[in-house]
Amino acid sequence: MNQNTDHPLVQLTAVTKQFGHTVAVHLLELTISAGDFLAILGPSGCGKTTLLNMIAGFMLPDSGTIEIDGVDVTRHGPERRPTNMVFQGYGLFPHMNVRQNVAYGLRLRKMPRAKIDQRVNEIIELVDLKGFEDRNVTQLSGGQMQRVALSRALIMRPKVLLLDEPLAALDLKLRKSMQEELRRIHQSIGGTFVFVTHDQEEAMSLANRIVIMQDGKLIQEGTAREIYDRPKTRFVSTFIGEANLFSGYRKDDKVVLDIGLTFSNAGPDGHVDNVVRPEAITVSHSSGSIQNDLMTLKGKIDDIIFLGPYINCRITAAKRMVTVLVSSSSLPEGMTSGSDVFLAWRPEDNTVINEK
Amino acid sequence: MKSYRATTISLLIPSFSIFGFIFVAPLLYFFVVSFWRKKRFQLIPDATITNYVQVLEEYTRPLWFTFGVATIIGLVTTILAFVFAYVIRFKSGRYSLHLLFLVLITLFGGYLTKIYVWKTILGQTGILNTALMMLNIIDEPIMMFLFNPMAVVISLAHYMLPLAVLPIYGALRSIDETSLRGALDLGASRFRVFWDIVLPQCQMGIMAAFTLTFLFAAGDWVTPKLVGGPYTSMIGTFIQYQYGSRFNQPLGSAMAFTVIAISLLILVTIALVGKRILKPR
Repeated sequence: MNQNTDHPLVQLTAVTKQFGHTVAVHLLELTISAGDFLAILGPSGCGKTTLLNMIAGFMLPDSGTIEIDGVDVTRHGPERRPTNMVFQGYGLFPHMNVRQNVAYGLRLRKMPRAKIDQRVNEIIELVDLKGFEDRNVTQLSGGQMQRVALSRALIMRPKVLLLDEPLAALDLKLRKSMQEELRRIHQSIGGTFVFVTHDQEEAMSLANRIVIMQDGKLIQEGTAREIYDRPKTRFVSTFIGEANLFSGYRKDDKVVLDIGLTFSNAGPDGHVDNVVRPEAITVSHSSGSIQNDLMTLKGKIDDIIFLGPYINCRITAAKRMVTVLVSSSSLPEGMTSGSDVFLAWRPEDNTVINEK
Repeated sequence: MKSYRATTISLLIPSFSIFGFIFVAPLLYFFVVSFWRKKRFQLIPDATITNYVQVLEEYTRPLWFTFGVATIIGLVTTILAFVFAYVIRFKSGRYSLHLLFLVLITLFGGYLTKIYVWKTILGQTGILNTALMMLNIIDEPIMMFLFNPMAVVISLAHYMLPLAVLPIYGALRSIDETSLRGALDLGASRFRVFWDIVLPQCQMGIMAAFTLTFLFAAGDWVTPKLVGGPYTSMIGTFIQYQYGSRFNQPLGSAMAFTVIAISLLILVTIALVGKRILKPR
């Protein structure tokens, strides 16, 4: 599993896949480095599963090339690729027990029995399935089936482990613990994991790199932090986290928003959208305490939603709905639905998007 | 809980009583009779196994022949049915329902009708002979198509095919396609996917299809009589003869129970061997 970290492990060049008249993936370029834990994130129908299937070899691209570890595998089937997949429905073999499921791939490689047993025991230990070796897989819980699917793929020591919505079928609590488990496994074996998800929180908590897809195209990639702080499009800003979007225009490096606020921001003239994250905004009873250099808006609280550690305030300001997230301990006293409030945020919390 | 049980029992009563009265009870009666004797058209209660000894001594050839033909019919029909069911399940995409409907529609038309149809196809002035003569391949009708074991195999395989497709299709349908992709992903060739993943999962369906066709063929006596010709001596013909012409119910019953016993033996053996071969390692 130790690859040279300098060259990209997986390289997709101009990959396109069409189903009838629908373009599932369009001229997509993607580089995956060894050791990455990459999330392919997007809404359903964005082409992310098609992309994963093309990396695995279950679908062949109409055009473009796929290289894995320097080998062109574009036309290779899944059985010839150094990748292994954890399927969304697990795809376990129902007529085999846990051990037989996990050992199947190595048996196909005609590995000696003793060596298979040793590898199986190692991997079963790793995924915490000890004691379940002789169970029939149909008698397992969802989380346990997930572990079997994971170990069945990991035992092959794939250069790239692919996971298709790995945690989608699990309930919230199990999902959280499997997320930690996956991180732990990734750290302990140091492989390259690529997973597909529509759940932004899952992507953010698991991956060290996120790729966002929309309509078959890759629209932004980076760490969770980079994408959250500097979304490139309106879609990304609302897909990753919540966003308050204010539209306006830029002229001579100055942005004028429709809500009447102005700030300086270098860039081409024309229409812009300004993103302000809900937690960047503070609320107060009067404008007196607000410093001069902040962006301020007057508004009225519509609704206050208590979320435990946070409070979500829906505020009408300048005839639009603004969402503000404040920590439960810092909401000023006496603030209820109907209160008049002042909103403020720092100019550096503005993220200007100029989308064509 | 109690009312559940009462409901279950009351729901089972109709089918169980039909099954009990017109299948189990007569069967038990004939089982008892098979140990009796016949004397001047009279049944004499007894506990003798001479009938069974007679069956095994005098009817060895028909027994061999019957189980040979039944095994061939079972195998041919099951293999054809499997191929057809496999195509419906995995290879025909959106036409699968049409194909399945085609299978069901062939169930229309009775057993005798189909046998007579084969008689006209294979017969002296049948379609096959006429066609071959028109093509100048033969000068005069040839008799080799009809009145031989082959005609029995063809007729019964044709009749049983749709009935054999259904259990296999049912078994194939419950296979999760992701498990096939999983095997492929782990490096299995198409053949290994088929052998290791598909076959073990539809074992029951295949066994059901084989059992159905095998038992039907082993017990049939009409088809051999109509298309089999004089040398196709299936045991069913002899059993019918014992009951119908010779009035020797004890011997007929002994024959019937010998057939049942051998059939069960063959089926259990095949099931065990199949299970053993396809057992995951």
